[in-house]
Order: sequence, then structure tokens, then C-alpha cells
Amino acid sequence: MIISESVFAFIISTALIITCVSPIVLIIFWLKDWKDQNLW
Amino acid sequence: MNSVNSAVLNASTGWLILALFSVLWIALGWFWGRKAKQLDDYMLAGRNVGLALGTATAMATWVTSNTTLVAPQFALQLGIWGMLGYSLGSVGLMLFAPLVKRIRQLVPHGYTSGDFIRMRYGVWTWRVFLLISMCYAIGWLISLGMAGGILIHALTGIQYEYGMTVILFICVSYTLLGGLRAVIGTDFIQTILILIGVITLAILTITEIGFDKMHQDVLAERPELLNLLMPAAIMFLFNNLLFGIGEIFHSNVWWSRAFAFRENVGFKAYLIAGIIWAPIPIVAGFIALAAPSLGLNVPAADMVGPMVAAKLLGFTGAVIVFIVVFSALASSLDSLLAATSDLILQDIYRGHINPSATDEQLRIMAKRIILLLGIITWLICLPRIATLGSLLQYLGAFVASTIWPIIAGLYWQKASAKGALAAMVAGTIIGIWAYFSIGFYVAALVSAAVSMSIVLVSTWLLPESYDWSRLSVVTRGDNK
Repeated sequence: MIISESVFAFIISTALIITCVSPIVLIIFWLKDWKDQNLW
Repeated sequence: MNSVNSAVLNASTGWLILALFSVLWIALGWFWGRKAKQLDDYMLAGRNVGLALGTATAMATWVTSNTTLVAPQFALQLGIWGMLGYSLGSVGLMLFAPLVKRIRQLVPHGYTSGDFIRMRYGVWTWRVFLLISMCYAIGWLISLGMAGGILIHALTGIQYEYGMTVILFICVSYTLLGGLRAVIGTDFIQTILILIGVITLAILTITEIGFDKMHQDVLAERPELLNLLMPAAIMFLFNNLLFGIGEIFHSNVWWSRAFAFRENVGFKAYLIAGIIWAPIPIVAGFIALAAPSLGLNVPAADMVGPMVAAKLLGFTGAVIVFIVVFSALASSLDSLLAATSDLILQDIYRGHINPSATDEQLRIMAKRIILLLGIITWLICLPRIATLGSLLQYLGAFVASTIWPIIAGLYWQKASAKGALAAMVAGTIIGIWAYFSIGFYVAALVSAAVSMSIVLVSTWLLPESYDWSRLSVVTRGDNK
């Protein structure tokens, strides 16, 4: 059962989009914690 | 494999990057360690870590050199399921999220995973658990130390002994200076570096080659890699899932963070870390599938990632891979050093040798233990005995045997100490038998199944009535 090009592209693209959002999310969390003096 | 012929950077550039990061990490370790006056500050970062640093440290610790180099290797060997199977490692992080909440409720003043096992199941189960934990921790430390030397050599041509010594020296130094605070602080920066690195490489691979060409070339040369019914890959998927869950549920690396995070942060931090971690093996792994399109002859499967990066991006690609691999190694090595030293300090030194030690004595001893662990790891890694590198493979049987005793101990009042002890011992022994009799891909699976059966049967036949309030009084001085 060979996966098609579109499924292949969908799997990789979805993973890449989540990975691209990750550093942004972490930096937003960091800024919020820093503002609230909750870093540690 | 991993010979100087596969080097994608020259040694001078490698030394320059190593020197820059040595200075950065050690300076940050010193800076963050200045405020750690109390033992709680040093061991558990003051028990006050927020969501940003908490999420990043859970994620970075789970991204090891394996994630960045073995994920492409699995993609090349097992295809789509290799990447997807590896990404299931994130399930362990996500499943640990509710456990962290429960751990903080039941053991608010705990220090280590050993504290919980000792108070929940008694001294003998605690000792067996410690043996499993120490085997795993030392095995992982050796594996990471050796991986550091081998990868630095493979990527830059720097001699194995020098590379291994430098990475151990850097991690021991900043962990020693700053304790868990330094580990968590550097983990945040390392997470950002890893994410930016893998994103850059993935985007450039897609724009340079494209999904259509990559798919066509893999289909022409290695069609089995795109087959969803590849049996070996499906077996790997389940074993990897259970190995990952066992590693996280038992290891003090993850428990120490449960105690270090601010209240109400642990659940969110582990859940988000799992979601962020899940796509990394896919993003880091799929670039290996560009090898057929690039006409690359890959001499060693674990070098396919760096080779594709260097072919596509030249010098810049090689530097990015080196920084990603170095960050991944350091973020796991420092966490393991800190958590293992906590386990030795609290459960072996405090629990068995000097129960009346003061905070000041424990703080000094914590530093000595980190240093000693670094020296022991260095000495074992120095001869580069190849079989030691595969040590971690055996440990799937060990760690998977702890999954059910921990879950039952946290949630079932009737779970018995004898059942937990028998589950860990029998699960480990039969798991190791399965490893040698059947194959590496069933060790964790068999161990978890045996352990689960014993826990279920013993809870049914020999029920106990545990008083949860006993756990809330766990402190450093309570070692009975």
C-alpha cells in the first residue's frame, strides 16, 4: 500500500507547520512569564 | 562508519563552534547558579519553574542526538513508518502530563521518583526500582557521552577522545555551577536553536528538491519506504511507543521536573512539549528521503541527515547540523547528569548512607556526585567499546517493567507492594529473555505485558488499602 505524493506532502507539511509555530509559541510563553515575573 | 571521510565540516570550524558554545553555556551556568543558595534552588530550581521554561526543558531533554540523527536513519531504513514511529515517542510526554498533576497532588514535597516508590511500595521495591533507574541512567549517560564523541568526529573529523571529553566537560561544568536552574535555562536556548535548525533544513530541502521529485525518486529506487504495510516498521512503532513511555514514567529526569515546576504548570508543560516534539522526528527525518534525488551514496545510515544538509546547503548546512546535534546532545546530557545526581544524593546517600545530612552537606555532596558521574562516564566512554553504545537497547525491558507499578501506585489504592516488586523483577527478566530469543523490537512489549499482568492479578488477589496521606509527608528526612 504505497502512499501517494499528496499524502506524503500532507504529512510532511503538517509536521513542518507545527514545528514552525513551536518557537513562536515558546517565545510568547517566555515573554508572558517574564512580564508576570513567573519565569522561575 | 562515522569515519573522518564522512566529515561535513573541517576540524577548525568544529573547534570554533565548540569553543563558542563552551563559553556561552558555562557563563550562563555560572550566572544562573549564583542565586542557588538553598538545596531546593540547586536541585529543583526553587520549585518555581514557569510554563515557558518548563515546556522547553521537557521538549529539549526528549530531543536527543538520536532524534536529530537516527530519525533520518529510520526514514532511510523504514520509510514513512520509521518517522511516524519515532514521533510516537511524544505519547510518553503527553501521557505523563496527567501523572505530573497527580504526583504534585500526592507528593508535594518530594525530590525524586525514588521518594514516591519508597513511600508507596516500601524499601525492597524501592531498591529494585533504584537498580533499574541507575542501570538506565548510567546506560543513557554512557550512550550520550559516546554519541557525543562519535558525532563530533563524524561531523568534523575531531578525534573521538577530544570530542567526547569536550562535550562532557561543558555539560558537567555548567550543571555543576548552576544545578537544575542552569540545565533548564540552557534547555530553552537549545530548544530554540534545534527548532530553527530543523525548520531551516526542512524548508530548504522542500524548496530545492520539491515533494513531487522526492516522491518520484523514492518510488523509483526504494518503493518499500513509501509502503504503509511494511511489517518490520509496524513492529518498531509499538516497541518504540512502550520504550518511550517506560523511559519517561520511571526516570528521575522527568520526575525531578514534576517537582521543579510551579503548581499547575506541569500538566500544560508536558502536554505542550509532547505536541511540539511529535513533528520533530518527521521534519528532521524526511530530509533523508532526498538522498535518492541527490544521488547520494550514503556510507553510514546515521550520517544521511548531515550528508543531505551539506549537499544542499554546503558549509552553512553543515554548521546548522552541527549546532542542532550539539544542542540536542547537551540538552539531554545536562538533564541526565542533574537528575541522576539527585537520585544518588536523595535515595542512595541520604537514604542509605547519611540520613541526618544537613542541607549544606547535601549541597556539597550534590556537586561532588555530578563531578564523579562526569568522571565515571568519561572513563567508561574513553576506550570506545562499540558494544557499550548498544547498551541502551537492552534497557527497554528494564524500563517498560516500571510502567504499570507506577500508574497503579499513583491511582489505585489497592495496588500492592508485593505485586509491584514481582512485576518489575519478572517483567525485566522475561523482557530480556524476549530480547535475546525473539528480537530487540519485542523486549519492551513483552516486559510491559508481563508487568501489567502481574500488577492486575496481584491488585485483584492481594489488595492493600494504601493511605494516600502518607505520601504528602515525604521530605528529605523521611527515609523509612
